[in-house]
Amino acid sequence: MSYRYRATSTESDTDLYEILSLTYGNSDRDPVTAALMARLAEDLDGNRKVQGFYPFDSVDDARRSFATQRLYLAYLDFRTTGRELTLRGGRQILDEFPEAVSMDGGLARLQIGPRVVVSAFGGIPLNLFEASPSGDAMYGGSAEWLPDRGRYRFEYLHVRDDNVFGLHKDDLLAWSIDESWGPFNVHARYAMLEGESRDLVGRLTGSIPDAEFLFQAQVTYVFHRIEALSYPLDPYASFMMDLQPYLDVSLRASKGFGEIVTLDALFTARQFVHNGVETTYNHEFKRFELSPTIRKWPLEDLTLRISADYWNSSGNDFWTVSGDVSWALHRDITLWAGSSYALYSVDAFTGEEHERVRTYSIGLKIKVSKGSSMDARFMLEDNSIGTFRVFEFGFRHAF
Amino acid sequence: MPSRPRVRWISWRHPGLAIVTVCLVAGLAVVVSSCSLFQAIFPPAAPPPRPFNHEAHTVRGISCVDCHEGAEKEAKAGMPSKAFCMNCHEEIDKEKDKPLEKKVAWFLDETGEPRWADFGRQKDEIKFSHAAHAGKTACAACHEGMDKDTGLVSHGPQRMTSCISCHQQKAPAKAECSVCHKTLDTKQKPENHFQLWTKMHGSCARAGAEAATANTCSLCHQQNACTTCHQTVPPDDHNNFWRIKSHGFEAGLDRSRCSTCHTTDYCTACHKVTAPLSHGAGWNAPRNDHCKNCHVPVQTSPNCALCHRDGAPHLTSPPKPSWHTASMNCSSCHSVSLKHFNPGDNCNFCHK
Repeated sequence: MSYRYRATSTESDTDLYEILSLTYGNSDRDPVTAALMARLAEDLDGNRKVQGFYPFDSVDDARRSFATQRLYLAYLDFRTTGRELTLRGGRQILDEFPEAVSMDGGLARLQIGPRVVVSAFGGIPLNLFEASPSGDAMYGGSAEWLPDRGRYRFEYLHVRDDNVFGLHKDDLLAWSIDESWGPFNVHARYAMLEGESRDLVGRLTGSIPDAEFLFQAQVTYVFHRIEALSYPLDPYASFMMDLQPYLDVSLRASKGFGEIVTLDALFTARQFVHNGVETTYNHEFKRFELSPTIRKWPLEDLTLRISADYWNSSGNDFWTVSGDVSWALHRDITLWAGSSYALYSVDAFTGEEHERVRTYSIGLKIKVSKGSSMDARFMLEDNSIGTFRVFEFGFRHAF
Repeated sequence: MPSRPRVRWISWRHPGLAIVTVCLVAGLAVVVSSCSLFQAIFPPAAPPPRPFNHEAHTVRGISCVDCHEGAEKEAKAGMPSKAFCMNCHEEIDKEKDKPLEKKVAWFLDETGEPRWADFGRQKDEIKFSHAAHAGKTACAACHEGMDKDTGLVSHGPQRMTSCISCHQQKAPAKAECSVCHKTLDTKQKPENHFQLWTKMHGSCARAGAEAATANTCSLCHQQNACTTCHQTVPPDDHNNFWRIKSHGFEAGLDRSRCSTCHTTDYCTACHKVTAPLSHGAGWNAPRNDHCKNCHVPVQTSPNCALCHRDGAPHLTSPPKPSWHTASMNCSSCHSVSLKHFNPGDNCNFCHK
């Protein structure tokens, strides 16, 4: 449960949030298990009175009702004694597809011997903000072969989505390979949409704990312009429109230097291919991120984290520098403070804009009992829109 | 206003340079690796063990424990010594026409003892005793196919999933971490869960790496942990400015970052019911120039039609021809012959 008060010099907003996350049973042991995750939000000071822009508008406040609710997960699992067959029914997320797809429906998963798994599912795709799911449907399945230290997977997904653009039907096919060699994992996935190549992803992940080194290299190649107008396959197409074909190369690495210093780094570069063109929501870019963390220095209970993030593109450039320090005052009490500075250089059509955002925050987290904790946070933010003050107080109980 | 030059970090239209670079680097690597100093620092790996034919022995009635004497009595099954092999091979290896790869000598290293492969070796952190499993589980239940193996393929260590599967059926009381692990438990993070893991765990969990490495997330994390965290803990950069204005910039660069948490129709839902920053107090006044934002051909504000598509001009827009589908690329044909200015919106909003 959390309480949030936000204010500018002229406007304010007070909200209350309750989050319930429940599981029943142990999925590795019990024949019947269940999971639920839901959120309830209340607008304590009533809806806004102003017309036009309001700095605290959100999809919750704009509903013109005191409370809004979202049900993210609610499903029941049943497994046979030998665990060969698993049946799942209810609101769930199919998270192994190229896009994580939420649905209300049923899923059957059958293990055939130690190395083959097949699954089938069907239901209605979940659009949390759509008035009616009328006309929506989805079904599909997957087949997996599990050799030693690997997985070969084929998957199919058909979506029928009736949204603001009309009725759309999309078919997605994907093949993926996962292999593990010692500390290295290799993943490759090829996906087809509507019978045409959609994208190819290759990823190498390595973890060498003795050297305190973790890295990931990924290449993504989008073959053609994508305009999948069904929400489950592209929830952004209706607003950001199509996705232009591109090649994206991303490298991440983390290196520890003893117990005190850890250095994280990220480099990403994206470039259009196959006559991809720049649009409002399609840009080539380079991104650099560097995040050093210092622990147990100069005090045993102190952690200092700094992060610099720079995006350089043909349309928008921005960079952020942030840092925070946390201090474990006591075994159950942690105090932290942080600040960030962001500069947005926006090459808009009318000229170059510069937006600067400064934030200062301080917080406290207290462990009250074995399963309970409470935290409080205050943030001051100064930007071109105004000066924002945000106070949050939360209580969490695990049982 | 002149546009900025495009970012070009590699010239893909001239692959010759890349090929030459790769060849030069490869050539340099070969030269460096052959020098004596390099070999002193990085000594070459020992040759791999000789492939062993298990099937040739099992078909002659030799069981696993005949050679691996500790398989039923000790923690380690053990590998046979040269002297042990020679009990049978002393005479066999004297045959004149017997090929070398079928003789014990083929497997001996410079010390005169066999150098066996140890593909099944587990980490030191694992507790396992062959003796504890003797009489309860057949050798082939774990070492599947080994009796038919003719060339010692790399079977690798046993996967934890197969251990758990068997324990759940035969010994449900012995399913705790401490039964097999010396130090690892659910209260201690695995070795790869240090700092960068927070940014990489999703791709590993979703892409099946857990199947490949047996790092099953559900051993420690509840079934709904992903959703609970992704829907309640926003990234650090989601401040008020980001919420009101800059999120569009970032989404325009890499929308896949958004899809980590926003998997449903969030953009449209929010933009349809919230007024943008430009819609201030004087926005709709008679002498305000707000109309130019949509109706001047400079694309200053795309997506006007998302909210305002029910205005008279849009309601009277001619429908698409019946053979046009919503997923067609309108601009590929209509970019030149467009009968009105291009506001940058999706044509499907008005031309249904």
